[in-house]
Amino acid sequence: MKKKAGLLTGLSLSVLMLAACADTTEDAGADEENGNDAEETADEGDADDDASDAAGSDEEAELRVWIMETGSPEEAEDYFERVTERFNEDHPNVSVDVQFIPWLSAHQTLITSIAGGSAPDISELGTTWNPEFAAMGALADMDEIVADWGMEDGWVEALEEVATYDETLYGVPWYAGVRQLVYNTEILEEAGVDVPQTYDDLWEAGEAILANTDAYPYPAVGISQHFVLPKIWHFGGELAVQEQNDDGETVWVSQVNESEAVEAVEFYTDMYKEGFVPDGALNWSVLDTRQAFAQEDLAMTIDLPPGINAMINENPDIEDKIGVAPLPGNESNASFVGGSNLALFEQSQNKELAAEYLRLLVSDEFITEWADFTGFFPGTLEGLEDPMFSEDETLSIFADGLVEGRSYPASPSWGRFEGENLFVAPIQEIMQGSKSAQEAMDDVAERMNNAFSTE
Amino acid sequence: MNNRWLPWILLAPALILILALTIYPLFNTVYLSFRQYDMYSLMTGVSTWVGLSNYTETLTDPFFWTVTRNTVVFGMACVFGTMIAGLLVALLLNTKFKGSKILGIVILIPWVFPAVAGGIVWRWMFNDQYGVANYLLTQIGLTRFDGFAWFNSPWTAFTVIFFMIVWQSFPFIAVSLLAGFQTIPDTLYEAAEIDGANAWHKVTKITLPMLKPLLLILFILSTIWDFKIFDQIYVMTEGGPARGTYVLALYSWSEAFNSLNFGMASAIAMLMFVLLMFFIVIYIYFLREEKGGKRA
Repeated sequence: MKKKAGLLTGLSLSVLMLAACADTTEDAGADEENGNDAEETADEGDADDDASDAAGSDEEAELRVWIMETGSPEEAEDYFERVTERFNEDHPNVSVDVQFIPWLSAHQTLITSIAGGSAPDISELGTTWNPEFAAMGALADMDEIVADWGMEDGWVEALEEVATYDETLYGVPWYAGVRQLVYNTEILEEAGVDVPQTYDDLWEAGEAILANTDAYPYPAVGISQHFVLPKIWHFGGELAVQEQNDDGETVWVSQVNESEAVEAVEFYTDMYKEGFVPDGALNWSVLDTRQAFAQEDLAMTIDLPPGINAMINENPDIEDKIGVAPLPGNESNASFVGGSNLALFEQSQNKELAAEYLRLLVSDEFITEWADFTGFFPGTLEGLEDPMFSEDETLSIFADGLVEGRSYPASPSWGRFEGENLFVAPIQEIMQGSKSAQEAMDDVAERMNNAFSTE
Repeated sequence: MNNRWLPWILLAPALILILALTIYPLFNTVYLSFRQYDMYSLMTGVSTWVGLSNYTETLTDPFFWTVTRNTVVFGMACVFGTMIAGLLVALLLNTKFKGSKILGIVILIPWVFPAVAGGIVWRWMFNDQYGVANYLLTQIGLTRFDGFAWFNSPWTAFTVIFFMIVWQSFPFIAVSLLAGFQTIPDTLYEAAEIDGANAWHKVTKITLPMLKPLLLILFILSTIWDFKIFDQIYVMTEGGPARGTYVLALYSWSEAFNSLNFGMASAIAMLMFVLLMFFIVIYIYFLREEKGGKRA
C-alpha cells in the first residue's frame, strides 16, 4: 500500500518535473498556439497526449490560493472565477481552489499552515507581514519571476519596500490603501469649526464639538495602532531607525520612547481622557469606530475608502455629509500606506503554474478591477494611472495620501508586533492611568528592541 | 485467562487512539518546553536545547504571576459559583412540582450553547453603548450604568465572564446531582423526619454526605474546565483591557501563535499542568480520606 503510494508520487513528480523543464524552454509565441491546441484537444475530448505536449499546458495540478475576505463575497468569488477561466485557457487541466480567509485570523492561519507543511501556493499577505514570512524562509524568491514578466519596475514604492528582504523580492504589490481624515460636515458646521490642519486645531475643534453638539469629536480609541502610530511621525518622531551596531551589522532600533513619540502618544491618550470618545472606547476597535461614525455619534474618524463605503451602507443618510481631508499634522501629515502583497510559497509544488496565476492577478486586465472593487488602489503604477482613480474628487485626496504616505519599518518582527497587539496594551494602560506615556512607551521600546536583536 | 484479557482486547482500539492523541502531544510539549523553538524553527525544524531557561524566564516574569493569580482566583470563583448554582437548581428540580420535567430540559440549553457563540452574545449584552444589560439596569433606576463600560477594567470584565461561565456550566452539575439524588433511598429521609429533621438538616446531614464522592468528581471536572478556560475570554475580551483578563491558557496560546515562542508557550503549558495537578491531588487526597475513614 505504502510502496504504491510512493511510486505514484514519484511518477507524478517526475512528470511534473518534465513538464516544468519543458515549460522553461517555451517562448511566448508557442504559448498562444498551445491555447488553441488545448481548445482543440478539449473539443476532441481526448487528453491522452499530455506528456508529449511541450508547453505543459495540459498539466494536471491543483493550485491553492488564499485571499482575504472582502465585504461582498459573491462579487469576489465571481471575480476569481473569471481570473481562473482566463487561466484555464492556457492551462485547462489545472484546478484553482480559491479560499477566502478572514483578516483577523489570517496571520495565525498562515503560520499554522506553514508549520504544518500545508501552506497554499499563493496567498495575499498584509504588507506588514511580508518581511516576517520572508525572513522565516516561507516565501519563494520572486526576482527571476518578475524579471521574466518584464516587471522589475513600476510597483508602488511603499509596498515594494516591504516586499523586499535582504535585497530580494519576496512578494509583489497587489493593492495599496491609505487612511485619511473623514468628517461629518453637518456636525462640524453645527460646532462652527473648520477641518483641523494641526493638532492644536484638532484639540480646539474637539472642545467646540463637545460643547456645542451631541456628538463625540474624535476616535481616540484603545484598539487601533493605525490611529496612534502615524501620529508619532506627525509630531516629528520615528517608529524605528536602522543603525550600525558594534559588529558593523545594520539593525533596527526602536524610537517610540523618544520625546516626540511620547508627546504624540500623550496627545492621543489625552483626547481619550478629555472625553473625546465615550469611556467604553478603551475597548473600541476600528469596527466600533465605524459604527459610531455611521450613527452620527462621532464627528471625525480616520478611514479608508472601503471603510467609508461600509459606513454609508450602515446608514445611507450620511452619504451627503461626508467630507474627506488630509490628516492633521505638525511636522508631517504622512498617513500609513498599507495594503496587500501577493506571495508565492516556498512549499508550493507548482511554482511555475502559481507564478502564471499570480501574473494574471497583477496584470492590467485584472488588477484595476480588484482595486476598484475593494476600494483600494492598484499596486502597479500603470494601474494607478487609470482615470477612475485620478478623476474622482474623493479618491484623488486618498491618492495624494498614497504618494505622500509611509510604511512601517520593514522588519521581520513587525508582523509579530501586530499579532501580539504590542501597541494596544500600552495605550490602554495610559488611558486607564496605570502608567505614564513615557513608562508605557519605554516598555514598548524595550520589547521592540528585544525582538530586533534576534533578527 | 481468556476472561482476563478479553476486556483489554475490546478496549485496545479506543485506548490506542486515545494514547496516540494525548501522549504524543504531551511528550512533545515537554520536549519543546526545554528548547528555543521560534518562527525559524517552524520552517527549518531546527531548534536549540536551552535547558530550563524557558522555565526560569517564565517564573521570574512578574506578569506570569499576575496571570497565574488571575487563573487561580477566577478559576476557583467559577468552580464554586458553578457548584453552588448547580446544587441549588438540582435541589429545586428535585422537589416534584408541576413542570419540573420541562424545566429540567430547558435548563440544559446554556450547556449545549457553543462557547464562542455564547461569548459573542454576552459581549453584545454588555456592550457599553448598545447593550441590553446597561439598558435594563438604567431602567430599574441604576443610572450609573448608563453607558457603563464593563470591559474597561479587569474586575468588571472578569465579573461578566464569571456569570457567563457559570451560566454555561451549571446545567451539567445540576443534572449530575439530580441523578445522584435519585440514588438516595427515601427511607433515610423518612427516618430523619421521624427524628424531627427539617429540610436544612436533610440536605446537610443526608444528601450532601451521601453524594460526597460525586461532588468530588464534579469538583475535579469543574476545576479542570475552569482552569483552562480559553474561548469565552478570547471572544469576549481577547485578554484585554491592557492584558488585564489574561489567564494561563490564553497566555500560553498568545506566546505560541502571536509571539511564535513555541518553547516558551510549552513551558507555560507545563506549569499550568503542574498547577492543575496540585489542585487535583488535593481533591483526590480528600477522596482517599473518605475511603480510609471506613477502614479506621
